[in-house]
Amino acid sequence: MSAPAISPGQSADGRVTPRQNWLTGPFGASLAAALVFLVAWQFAGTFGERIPGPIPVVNAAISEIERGEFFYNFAISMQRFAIGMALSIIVGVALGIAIGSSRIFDNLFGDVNLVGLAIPAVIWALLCTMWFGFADTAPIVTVILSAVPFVVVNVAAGARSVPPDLLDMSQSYDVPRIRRLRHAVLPAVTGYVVAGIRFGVMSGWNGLLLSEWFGSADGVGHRARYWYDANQLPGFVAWIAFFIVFMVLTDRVVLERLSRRAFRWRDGESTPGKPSAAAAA
Amino acid sequence: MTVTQSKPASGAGAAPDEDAAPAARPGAAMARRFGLQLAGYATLLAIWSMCSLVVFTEYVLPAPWTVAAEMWHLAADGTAFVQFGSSIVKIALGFAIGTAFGVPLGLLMGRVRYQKYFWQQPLLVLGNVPGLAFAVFALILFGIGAIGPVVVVAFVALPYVALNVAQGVEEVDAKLIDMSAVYGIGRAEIVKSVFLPSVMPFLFAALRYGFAMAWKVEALTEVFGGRSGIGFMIRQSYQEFSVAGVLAWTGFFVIFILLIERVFLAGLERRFFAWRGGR
Repeated sequence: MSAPAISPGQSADGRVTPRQNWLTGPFGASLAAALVFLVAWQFAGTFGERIPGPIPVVNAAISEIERGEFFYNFAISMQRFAIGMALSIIVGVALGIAIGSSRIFDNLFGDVNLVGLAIPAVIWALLCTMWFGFADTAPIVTVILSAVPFVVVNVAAGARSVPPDLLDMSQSYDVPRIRRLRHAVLPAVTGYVVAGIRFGVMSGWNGLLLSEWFGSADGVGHRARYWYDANQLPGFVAWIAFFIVFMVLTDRVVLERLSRRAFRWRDGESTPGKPSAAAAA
Repeated sequence: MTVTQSKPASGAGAAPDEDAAPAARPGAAMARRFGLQLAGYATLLAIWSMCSLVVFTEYVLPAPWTVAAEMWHLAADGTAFVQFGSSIVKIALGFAIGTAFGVPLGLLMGRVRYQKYFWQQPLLVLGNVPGLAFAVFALILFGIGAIGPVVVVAFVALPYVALNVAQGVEEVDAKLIDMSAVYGIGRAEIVKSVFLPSVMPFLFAALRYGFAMAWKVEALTEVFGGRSGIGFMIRQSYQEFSVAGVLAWTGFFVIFILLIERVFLAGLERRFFAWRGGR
């Protein structure tokens, strides 16, 4: 997402825009948007009966942190999420490379993987709750089942994107295997793997929340449900805000930077990691 | 999605002699492809039956034929069609609302720089909101019923449509528009022949990914607060602890998604992108 520094109309006659005022720049505009949102929220909180305004929500969030529930539940959920994601990345990369590099595997399992992409996480969450009961297994399996298809699709796209000409040429020039892997295969695949992990994280996080909501006695999803069941909406909204902040931070700060780094060898024109599918449900 | 029909650039060195044979007889290649796909599904079913019979019990994980019987039962008495129809109406309505707001917003973002800066971050954050949040908020605000899912689908579709249309507008070739102006072509004609064809692929991508998303979040919302629709049926099966029921509805879901992907969207794509001259 490269914002054009000069709009097309102005660049034509070669005049430089004199005032790059920060108020009208990206930062100022985002700040304005946030302020408008806060005011609207406050408004809705004051006049809507069922909606808690920002101040009670912030208070609930602070008391939740002070009580230690925040860190306790996040630690438990993170542990499940990390195990689930690690397994899905291993399985997804292996399957994705198989599907992307062999026609037979593609025909065999490409379609099945599409089916996996289509099944919503809530179904996995409910099924895993019925299968594994209230323990760590259900959330972990839900994370795996909802994250793997996204990793597979993207890694397969990456494996297909390795230019065969380059491989042929390096073969004729007797380039050793390791160097071929390092300079031809890895640069093409890495970016897609990162993109796949990014979508997998979004989808897996959503699956984790649902699984903990329906079938768990601890973790962040369960804590949100606890406040919801108690009809204490400020607490519930505080947890939803935690989820969104967590997701935005992971996506924007960690994964997007990784993806930019993985694609840094490309020239600026090409768009990095076209999303192969949308996640988050 | 973009997986199956892409170019056959096989990786490391996967047997060039395989590629040679199908090129000669496309019919045989099709049959082979289809056979392999069937084999893939068969493998899945075999693993499933084995897990059902050997690893778990029939109660915990029903065998494929039990689920198929359940699906047949649901399809025969029409329940499946009624509930699917109810979900589809909600999705279509919500998507229409989301598109109706998203396209103007996207056009605005594409034309006015400040609007782009203003809306971009909020829309990206909106795209990151977990489905759970949408579903429960819909339940809190609108109660049990049809309004919640429709509103949620609209909110899910909005960022996809707006961001994609904005990008599409930015990538319209300014030179083409200048040229059309030089040749004295009317505004309406420019919009029709230059503007729309270049924005259309972006709008279509938005519809495609947005639809897959919307469908999932809609089902989720119905699980929480629906009175009809596929999500509601899934919830009912869950509450009766009927794994076969949940799996049967999942099966319908899968069939439906494959139909939409393969028949409906592919057909639309062919129609809209006829100007590209066949890919």
